[in-house]
Amino acid sequence: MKTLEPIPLEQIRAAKKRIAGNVLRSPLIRLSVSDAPAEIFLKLENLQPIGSFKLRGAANAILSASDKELERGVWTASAGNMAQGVAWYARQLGLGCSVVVPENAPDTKLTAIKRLGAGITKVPRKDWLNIYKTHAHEGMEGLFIHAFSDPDVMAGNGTIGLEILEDLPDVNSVVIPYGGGGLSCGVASTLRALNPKIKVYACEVETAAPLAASLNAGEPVEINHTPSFVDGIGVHFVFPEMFSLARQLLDGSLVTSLDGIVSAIKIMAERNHVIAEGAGAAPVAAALAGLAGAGKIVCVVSGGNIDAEKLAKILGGDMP
Amino acid sequence: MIERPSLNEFKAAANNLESIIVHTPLIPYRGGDNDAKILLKPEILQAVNSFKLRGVFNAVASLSAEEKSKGVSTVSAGNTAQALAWSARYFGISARSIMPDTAPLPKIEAVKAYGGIPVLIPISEVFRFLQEHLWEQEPYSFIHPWTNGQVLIGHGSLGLEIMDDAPDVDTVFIPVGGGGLLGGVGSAIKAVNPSVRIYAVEPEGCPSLRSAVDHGQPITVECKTICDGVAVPYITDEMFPFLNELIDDVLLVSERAVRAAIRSILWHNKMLAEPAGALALAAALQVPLTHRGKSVCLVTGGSISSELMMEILQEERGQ
Repeated sequence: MKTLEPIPLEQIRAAKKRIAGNVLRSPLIRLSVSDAPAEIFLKLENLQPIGSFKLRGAANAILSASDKELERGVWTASAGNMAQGVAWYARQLGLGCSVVVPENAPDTKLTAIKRLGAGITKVPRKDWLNIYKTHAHEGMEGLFIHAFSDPDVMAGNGTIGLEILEDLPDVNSVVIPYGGGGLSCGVASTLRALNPKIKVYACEVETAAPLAASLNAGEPVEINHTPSFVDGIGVHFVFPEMFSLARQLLDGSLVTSLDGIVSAIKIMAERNHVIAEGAGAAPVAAALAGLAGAGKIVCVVSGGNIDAEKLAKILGGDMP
Repeated sequence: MIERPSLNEFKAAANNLESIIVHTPLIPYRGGDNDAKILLKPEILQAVNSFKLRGVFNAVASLSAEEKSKGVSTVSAGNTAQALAWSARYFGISARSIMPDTAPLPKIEAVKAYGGIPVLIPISEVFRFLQEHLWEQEPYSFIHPWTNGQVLIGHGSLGLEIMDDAPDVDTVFIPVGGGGLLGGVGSAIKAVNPSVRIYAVEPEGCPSLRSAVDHGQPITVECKTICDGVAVPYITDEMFPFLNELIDDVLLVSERAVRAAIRSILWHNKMLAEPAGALALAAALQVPLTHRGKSVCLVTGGSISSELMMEILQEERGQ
């Protein structure tokens, strides 16, 4: 297994220059809840093009590659936001793009990927997960962009940490959704380098929290997980190469309830007028539950891609 | 008539506000194709959740110590009252807001949460209070929501931000209620670059500025619109000549186009706009790119009830 190291600060600063103009410098705003257990701030990555932070990593990986590497276009394995991030940016540059998806991927996501001009290959879920380990799939050519463990992708994600520190230098804690681990480890690389006193937490949902279980066990373990509307994070295991990095960089994983996430989505919509998807609202749910302690807490609202029916249910006060 | 403030007045106010307000970003509208050249200015991300804080804080800050000590008051459907309560708390003084008894409960609660005192009266009484200058009989320092000069100058900070972030803008679309936002932002922009076009935007169901422009003087119109944030039936006599001279045109938007713009901002830009907050985008979408050029649309507020939001979401599913 390849060992991953924290991303060096100079690579993250280089990424910031590289992707400026392609991504939004997202705003940091105060959550409008007066009786919260902390001063909670929202880093609104849901306002990015394609509605998630993924464009930062995708753009940095593509812009870091040589013309020769890009000759045959780019490809990735993802059924969700990363596929859209890579496809969106490939289209901006006029590059070909292919996406490998698990055969049970929902049609709404596939439609969104196709609309961005990418080709789609469906494979069994097991084979799809395997791509994250092998970084290869028969028939795929061009530059492979790994959704989370590619250092260029993590460096792109790390630029979020630079912006947080520019806007709120005296932040006490930062809470970040944990799916593959590329977002939390990218942002944590920045924060550790610039201010080791800041607490950096991963955040998972109770129905699928393999990082918390693995941190407890001291090694990657598999868990039983229940699929839910929080589809941006949560599988039944952690990727071993990411686990060692996550254990080194993060102060733990805050596990939040599904009810808490529903309520956080509703609060953000009603009070701050922004739309978050389940994964994006998880850090806010954790902070509101007091899991991240007191002081100034930044919650990375990673994305806003949620279906109409699910959002309607949540605004009506129901579990989707 | 209200005088157009100078660029220096706008800059001084913007300096005073710098540490209080959020410099809101310009975000490309993502619903159209890549070359739509529409930028959204989402004031829903502003502190206290609306642009009103810019003007109201500036007005309260501009009062003398003696005027401050009397406490402050205003008239508001909700957002100005919240901004006033927040500003008053900042200076440690009391804030009283005349509000229509039809104001949404969350807005009334928010005023109380910031330490303000809401005074609820029927909507007809609210307009009478403004038209007959009834505040003159009260002991508080009154901050007029539309015609207070310092409110107008504070709102202008929004225009300066637009000119800093998009100096090559051709057209700015601004919703009109009482006209304070339009007057402040429009004149700040013209002070920086007089060739930028200023389009005022109203719902078809409440065309008070359109009617005033057509008649050459303010007239009272009937207001039937979901855009509660701008449902003001009358442009005041002081305000009208000032606005009339400032704007390049007044555009009217159908209720249907407002609902479509709310949906589009929701799905493509992940923000909730209230009907008045979606007016400017709805207007820009009905003007061809060749006529408007690079455009900025103010998204002024997001206080939409869950019921209306769900109704609008369901319309989409029905389509």
